[in-house]
Amino acid sequence: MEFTFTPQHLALRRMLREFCEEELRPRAKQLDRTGQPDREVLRLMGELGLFGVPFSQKYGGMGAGEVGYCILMEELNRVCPSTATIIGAHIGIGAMSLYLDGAEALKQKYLPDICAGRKIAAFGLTEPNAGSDAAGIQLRATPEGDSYMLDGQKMWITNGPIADVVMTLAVTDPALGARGGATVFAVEAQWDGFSAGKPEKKMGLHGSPTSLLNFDNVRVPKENVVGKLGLGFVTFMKTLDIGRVSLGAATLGGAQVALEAALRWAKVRSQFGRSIAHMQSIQFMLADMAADVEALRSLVYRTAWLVDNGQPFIREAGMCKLLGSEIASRCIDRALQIHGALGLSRDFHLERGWRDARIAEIFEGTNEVQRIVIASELLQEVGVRIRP
Amino acid sequence: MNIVVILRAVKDPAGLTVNRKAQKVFVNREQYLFNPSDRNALEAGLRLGGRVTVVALGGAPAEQVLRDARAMGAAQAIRLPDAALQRADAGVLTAVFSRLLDRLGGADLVLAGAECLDADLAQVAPRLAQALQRPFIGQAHQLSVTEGTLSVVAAHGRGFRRLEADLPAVVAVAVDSNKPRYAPGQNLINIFTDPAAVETLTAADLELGEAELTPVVELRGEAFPPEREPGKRLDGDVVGQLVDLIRRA
Amino acid sequence: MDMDALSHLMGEDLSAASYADIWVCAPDPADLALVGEARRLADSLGCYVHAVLADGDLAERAIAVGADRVHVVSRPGEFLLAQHPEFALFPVAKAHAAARAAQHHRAGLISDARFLSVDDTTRALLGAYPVYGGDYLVEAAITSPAKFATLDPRQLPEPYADTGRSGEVVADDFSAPEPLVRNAGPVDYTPAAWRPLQKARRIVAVGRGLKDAAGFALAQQLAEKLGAEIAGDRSAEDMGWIGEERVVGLTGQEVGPDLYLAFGVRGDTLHNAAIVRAKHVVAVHANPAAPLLAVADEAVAGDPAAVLRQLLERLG
Repeated sequence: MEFTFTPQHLALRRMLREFCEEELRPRAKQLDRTGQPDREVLRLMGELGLFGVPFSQKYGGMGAGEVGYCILMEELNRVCPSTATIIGAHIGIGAMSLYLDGAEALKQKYLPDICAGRKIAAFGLTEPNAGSDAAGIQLRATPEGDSYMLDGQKMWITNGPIADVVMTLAVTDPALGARGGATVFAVEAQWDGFSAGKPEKKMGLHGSPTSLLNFDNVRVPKENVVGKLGLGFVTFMKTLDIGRVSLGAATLGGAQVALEAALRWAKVRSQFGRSIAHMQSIQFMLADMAADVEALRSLVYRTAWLVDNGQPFIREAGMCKLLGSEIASRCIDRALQIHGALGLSRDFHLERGWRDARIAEIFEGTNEVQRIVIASELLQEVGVRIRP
Repeated sequence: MNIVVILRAVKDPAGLTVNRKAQKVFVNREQYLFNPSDRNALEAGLRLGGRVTVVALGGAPAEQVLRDARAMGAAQAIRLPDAALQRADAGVLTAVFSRLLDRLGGADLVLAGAECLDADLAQVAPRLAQALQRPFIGQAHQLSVTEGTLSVVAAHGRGFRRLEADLPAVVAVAVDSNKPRYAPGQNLINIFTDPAAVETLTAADLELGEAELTPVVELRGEAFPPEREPGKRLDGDVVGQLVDLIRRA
Repeated sequence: MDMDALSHLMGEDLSAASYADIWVCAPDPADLALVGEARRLADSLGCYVHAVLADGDLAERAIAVGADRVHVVSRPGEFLLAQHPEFALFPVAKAHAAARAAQHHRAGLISDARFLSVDDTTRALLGAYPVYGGDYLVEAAITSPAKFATLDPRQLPEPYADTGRSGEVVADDFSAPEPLVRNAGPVDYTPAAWRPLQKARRIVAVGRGLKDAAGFALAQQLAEKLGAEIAGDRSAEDMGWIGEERVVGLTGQEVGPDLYLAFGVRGDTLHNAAIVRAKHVVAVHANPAAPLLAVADEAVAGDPAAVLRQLLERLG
């Protein structure tokens, strides 16, 4: 067993740590307040290859694999979860579905621009009536000549307002429904009939624009089918599975930074004549946080290693997301408690971290769904098939 | 234009704790980074265009720094790993770099950082200029080259002045005089997985003699300033003491 | 005059094989502190102290503080290339000249040297130089025939001046070669400052204790004079003196300058935790119980605006 990062991954982390501290940290507060992304920083990120980290260099990606992508998400989320979420939806689920199952010609058509950050990708699954029940999607794709006409709505789509290309799951065969009758289409935002709603006002991730997407008879050429007709649901579920690993890495970044803040505060804050680090209640909180973070770190990077080495990872990926989201929420909440009133100050980074962390238990498959997925896999091994 | 930049890997101060009371330096996390002004020197070199070669002495930390430099855009990297050079003083290093430059066929411009974080080696660049009988400019902030003439905006006292010299020349670049570029991720992945990204040369390859490799400055250990005693109240001629303090700081 | 003639005139053997005496490069008045240091070392070595000056008016004082021989030349650094000093002391401002001379003479050189001494038996020059911005020092010994050091005159004690001392002003016929570097004159250049507080070596910080805009203006003048960045605590932002980007504190920025001068800053936990990396903290506040006064390296309990006014006067 070799539990070290490769030199190239260490080099990547060093560069990312510096970039995030120098470029993102000074802008994170403002981004949270105004929701206005900094074009300059996004351009620089594109130049450094941060929009295509796991993808092969053949398509203009960085070629850093899932481990490299997890490092990216951890480092970004330490400093600016909003920016991390833009990238996460763009790479981790948006472009990823194209990367996993798209035909070569389609990949060559979009991936180079996506990897350079010239085009932003999004993942169009959720609808007003289909969240956890993803199979309940209703957006319809009707064949017409050598195109499909897409009609319907998607909701809560991360990067919706800024996306250039949305991987969209639509029902192509209503008789079969989602399972067997749904297809993924690469839809360009500039096409007639496509429009994004106004950015949602959310509890957190203010810098990550999210919106409704309207498809009013959008004509999509059949070359833009991603993967196989009718098997779109499988493509999307595969995409979500792999997306969970890097989401775990993102939550790790948030938890780690909360632990570091709590440690520092425990050292400098004095009450009752000594630093609060000397109080057992604080010590126990810190120890619990550190143990959680350490466990999460091992789980996330081992799972990323499984992905990069072609080993099965679905169960572990679900665990990354499940544990990561809950550990991060807990860690950040304990850190906030340790900081007392300062934790509530909007001038300090913790309350933003607290608001930004909450979503992780909900999106990309709620933690309830994760538990079902994990249980399903476990029980299958002992011969019990549970109905989803 | 051929540019050679001398780099050094230093221990990251963030991983060190200096305990004045115990008179010891504790290494909590052994990690290395570019000697800060060397990075500015590399950036200055890259901005001038031309072909940049980077050189460094040492083991794995030097390898790391050289690869980072290649990922930033340096065309060639040379490492001298000799254990014999571990105790090299500035005079030995000057001989080494002098011989290395000969072997590279000379350079139009040699750049180095103006400060050295962990050793008394900022003197290497002016020494090298003397050895090569070339002009030396220190504390450089902005460099430009037009038809063989180097023009430098250099710090001078509290201000700046313009200095000019004919190439070939040696320049020490001031720390924080520019904002070093980030290495694009793709370069990092490719350079750090390429076994041939950094060449190694030994002192033997450079045909350096025993005398040239013998240092005349021996390091004898560490000394520590007195412990900081916070809260010292000034009284009497307070302003006079403050003036003195400011002048000495 | 060539070296053989000079040799004969001085009655000393200045051939390449013999390096002798302590030579001090002292182009500025402040550099005479180095002559004092040389005197201290020479007394135990039994050798002459040569002061190399650019300004003949300083010759008398140079002798008073310890020089046996004074040389007045236009380029002291270059002059030393032509001599054979066993020991040579240069001010840190002449670090480049020192390095070039050291290379020429195959001399070891200690930069920004502290605690200089000479080993009785080996005549090695011992000293210590700062690393990591002065967090600690490395002790070194130079064993070459010629041994050089650069020193910071500000770190040396005021030399003892004995007007009764006698010494000789030597008439050197020395013409330095044409410099290889041409000075095209001063240039109005402001380095680009992204996140200026992060890179600042000196910071003047302000707080409510300065009372009003007039007090703040004084602090700004001091910052200008010292080439320092202006910063402040949260109260300074509340007073409208500084913007958010200049606040020092856990909700603002952490800083690590060489010198942090705080006027009217009370110093709460949030502020004090953000200056732990500052090398030297000086605080002035009217309230003797202000927390920052207990944390600073030097503290003054007094009216910050008044202290600023006097400080600006004295600094000239």
